[in-house]
Amino acid sequence: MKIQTLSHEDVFSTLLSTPRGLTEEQAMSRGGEYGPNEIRSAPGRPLYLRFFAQFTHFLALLLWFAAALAFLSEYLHPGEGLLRLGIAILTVIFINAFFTFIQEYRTEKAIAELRKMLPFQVAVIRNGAEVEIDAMKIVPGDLIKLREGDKVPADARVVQSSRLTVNNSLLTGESESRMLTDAAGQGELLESDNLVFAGTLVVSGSGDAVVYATGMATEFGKIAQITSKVVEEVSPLHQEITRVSRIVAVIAVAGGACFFLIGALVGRGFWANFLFAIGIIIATVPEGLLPTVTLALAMGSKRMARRNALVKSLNAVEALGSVDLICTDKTGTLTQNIMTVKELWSPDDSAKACMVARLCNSITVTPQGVKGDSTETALYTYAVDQGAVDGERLAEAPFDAERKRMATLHLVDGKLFVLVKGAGESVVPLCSIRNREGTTLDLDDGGRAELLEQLRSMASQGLRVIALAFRELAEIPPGAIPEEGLTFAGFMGLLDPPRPGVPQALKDCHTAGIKVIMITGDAGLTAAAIAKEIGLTTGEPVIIEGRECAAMSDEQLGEELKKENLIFARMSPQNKMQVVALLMEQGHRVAVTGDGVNDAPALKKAHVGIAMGLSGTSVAREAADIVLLDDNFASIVHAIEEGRAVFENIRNFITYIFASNIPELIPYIGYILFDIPLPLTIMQILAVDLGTDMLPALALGAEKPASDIMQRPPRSKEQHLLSRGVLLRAYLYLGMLEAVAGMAAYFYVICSGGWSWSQPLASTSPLYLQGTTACLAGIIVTQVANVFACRSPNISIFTLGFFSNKLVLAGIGTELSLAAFIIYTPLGNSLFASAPIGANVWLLLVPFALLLLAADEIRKYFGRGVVEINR
Amino acid sequence: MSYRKIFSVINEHTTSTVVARHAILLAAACQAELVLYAAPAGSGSSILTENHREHLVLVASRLDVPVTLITDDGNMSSMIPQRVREEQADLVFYPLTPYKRNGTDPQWRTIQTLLHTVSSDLAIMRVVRMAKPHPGQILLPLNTTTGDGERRLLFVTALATCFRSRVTLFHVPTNRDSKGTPATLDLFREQLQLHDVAVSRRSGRGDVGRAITLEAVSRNYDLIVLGASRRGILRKLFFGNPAGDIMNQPPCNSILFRSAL
Repeated sequence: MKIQTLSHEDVFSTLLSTPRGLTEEQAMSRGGEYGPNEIRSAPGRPLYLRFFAQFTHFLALLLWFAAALAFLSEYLHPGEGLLRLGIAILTVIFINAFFTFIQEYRTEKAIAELRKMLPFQVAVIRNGAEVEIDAMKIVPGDLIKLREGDKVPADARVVQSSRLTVNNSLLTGESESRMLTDAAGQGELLESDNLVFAGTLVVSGSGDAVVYATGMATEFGKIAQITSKVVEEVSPLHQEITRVSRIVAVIAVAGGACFFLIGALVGRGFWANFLFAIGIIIATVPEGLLPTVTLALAMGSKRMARRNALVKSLNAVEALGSVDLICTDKTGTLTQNIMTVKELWSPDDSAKACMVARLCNSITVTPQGVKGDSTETALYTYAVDQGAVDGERLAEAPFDAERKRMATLHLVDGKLFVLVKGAGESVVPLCSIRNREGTTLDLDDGGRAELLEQLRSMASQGLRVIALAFRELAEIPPGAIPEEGLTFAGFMGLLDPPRPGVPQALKDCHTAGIKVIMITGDAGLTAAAIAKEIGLTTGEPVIIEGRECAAMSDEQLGEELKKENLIFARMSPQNKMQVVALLMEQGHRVAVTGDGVNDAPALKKAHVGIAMGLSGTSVAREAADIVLLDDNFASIVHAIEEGRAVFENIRNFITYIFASNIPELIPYIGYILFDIPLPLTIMQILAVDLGTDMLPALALGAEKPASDIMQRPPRSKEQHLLSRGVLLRAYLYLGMLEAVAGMAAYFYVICSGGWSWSQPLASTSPLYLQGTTACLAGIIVTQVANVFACRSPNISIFTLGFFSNKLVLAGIGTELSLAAFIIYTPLGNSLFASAPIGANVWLLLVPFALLLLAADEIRKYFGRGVVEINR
Repeated sequence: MSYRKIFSVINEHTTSTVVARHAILLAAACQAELVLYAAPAGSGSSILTENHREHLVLVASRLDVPVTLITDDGNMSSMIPQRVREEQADLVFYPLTPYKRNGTDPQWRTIQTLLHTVSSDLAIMRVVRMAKPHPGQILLPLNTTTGDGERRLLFVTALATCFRSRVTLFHVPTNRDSKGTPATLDLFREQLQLHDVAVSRRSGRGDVGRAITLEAVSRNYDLIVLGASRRGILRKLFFGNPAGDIMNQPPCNSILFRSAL
């Protein structure tokens, strides 16, 4: 027994109500039982805990650890500037925490937007009288009054309908309105013709309905429940950054411990070794990585916005680049969401068909354009374009869901016509005449069968087919419009045409190894026709409808998902989320597009949720990670290209940042193992990590996508941000060359100043200050060369061009300006314990920079050779 | 084996009528007797309770279910176990009203008392949708430590055969990579299939309560049948109480089942 199958008497009996509605006492009692009719947010983690979480993720913990070590070192070894380092690291942690925390309100906003979609005031029958009450006070058993333009306040069973027509697109995604009846019926809940659902709109007519579910128990509430309960997947970049942090932590701590032991073996004291280990750890932790990644993502999101993809969640920038599967909606994304007459089939003169199309409809022509149902608007527009005649309407029998047709009585050029338009199976049986080559022929059953065959043929192409017929009358009929004895005029086939750029965008997806699956609320045939036209399917389509999908086990559906040419039609939000969840479980990185309220759960569930900015609801926009400003599928592909470039760029600047860790580390090793004065102070390390390196690294984040980036397959899960290759290149190749430069400059300065081996140097002596400054200058100069080397892991800088990334040049300019400030100003000298160095030192360093660039060019050359051989 | 006498508690709340309708239909299917136990909360609610009782007697009579009517005033949590023993009922339906209405503590105390004192099978039911007296789809979450398997199986089989429901056995592995399923799952499937009940299995991920809620909402189940938790206070404190969480904010009509003591 379902509510839609019950008689009126049983509906009232089951819901303990009457045709006079509930009494105020009953309503109040039920209000307490079922709660207010509202959409509630599930109690989530308190705000302070979520804010606290920004300080406790792995990279943040690593930075806390580094800051704590800096403070400890300051305590043990005051005056080394470690206090400033600790404060600087804490600042980095706090800035990042605030930045990320701001991104954290999406779920609450999506639920808040859902709340706004319920009405505020509702007409209801209480104690036999109609009263207006707050929609929140509606309870199960209430008898509500529905009129044109009302929003439905709760799920209810219709018990009286006067052409009550509702639009359920909010829940089902189906754009067609549905005329409801008050009779008992069978069928699934959302497809029932006697139920109304909370949040949907009464398009026309009026009726009474008994409420059977309120608040979170409604179908609308279920969407809110799923949206709030869905656990968002951790973004691929987030996973990668965590992995990088762990690797760095292991390297740093292992390095520190290792050299602590070595120090102990060579006979140094415990505290000296401890401080040394701290220095190693601080030198290895890339303090600038977190802000650089965040800023690079922000820059990526800005570039995406220029390509019509507005990014709401920064991690989505890279996540979009990693997707290998897109689940896309049809209407409005792949198509233009404008119904258009694609085919007119008429056995004779098509002018009569156009006349019916123009005159027999309910559209309104305003100075702003044609307003009304999308199908009728398309018919009218087409007919006017074809030059159809105008006429005067004398009477009308509006469209009726049971009759499935509309009829009008028109005076056209002094002649009286009955014009009928509607579904083929409704109109064709009423036709008894057809014209062929100017002659009038009787239409028998065989002829009608032929017409219906033609209709099926057009429908199989995915067209929505409307039959048109007419009858000429001698005089105005006394009663109802006579709809029999019609002359068949033609069929018009309508289609929502594809967007112009979509076929090319799908080709690009194919080349980029990205699979595209259409998931739509529309019928299968329509979806298949569009899919074929735009090249989404190349063979026989596999169409799975929502009902079949729900009946399948996960294993069965999983097998279906492996098939090619897959189309999901008539899908509910629950079905859509089920498909998305399974695809994610199969290891795909999934992007989902959507515009309706019903899409919110899937948008939130997917790795990247993409909402439509123009046609999308605010709920969809709030649930999504990215909003398309032009609703165009092609924009997704452009955004993917940017996303892929972001991953490449982050990897490039990680190489750049990590390379400078080695010249920061080697001086410590020399200090402890060879008993030389420490060649680089902690504050100078900080000057590189959070100062001179920052802007060039950011400039690497702005590198344009490589020309072949969309010809490559999607990044596999095994392809990590920090790979062995990246580490070897950064640490053992580029880093080592930089360390040689730094140490060479250091020894050049102090040896020139008369230093001899094992001779101690006071930390304030001018020679020592110049020596450490020379080491710092060595790192800075070689990092200038390194930024060019890191612009691509395999493309020569001569191919890319030295001046093609203006930001890199600006970054280098800033880097050198900062270096000048540190080295040549009294304030810089006092902050970083530096001293001015002569031009001879700079000249000494230039060959090292050139050597680094040349060495990496050679590596790239051989690397490209290996790639070619592998191809 | 089937139920012989079903005891259903009714009060001034409409949800109690939905619970009682389940009891009536189950009694009709099992050819069992029905005891309608009216326990109005206060003097103002006795008229509503009386109306509900009349309505339910009518529904039961249409289905030829023999009904015994009992009305009591006083402390329900001590009266119900006594009445159940006197009537020798083997299944008790108790309607749970939202905590917000009657307060968390009194409800909590009543339920705790009933869980420990009602000797027969006990089905504590929370209704969120009035229009679901016939559950077409039942979700049956199972875990590895379900101790009341046999009686719960009997109850679910009776429900599923009575309402011709599909039953989905649902399991949430304790860790993400766990492939194991509880032994009770196979037992339930075999036994339900023996009674021609359509059975399917599904599994969820992550937090148990959240996974059950998501499954229930996303697949449109009509009823969840949970097993009563035997967790101690410490275990609840550290590992949570999924059954309690779901009964507190159920995604659909839900029953917390505890087998006979």
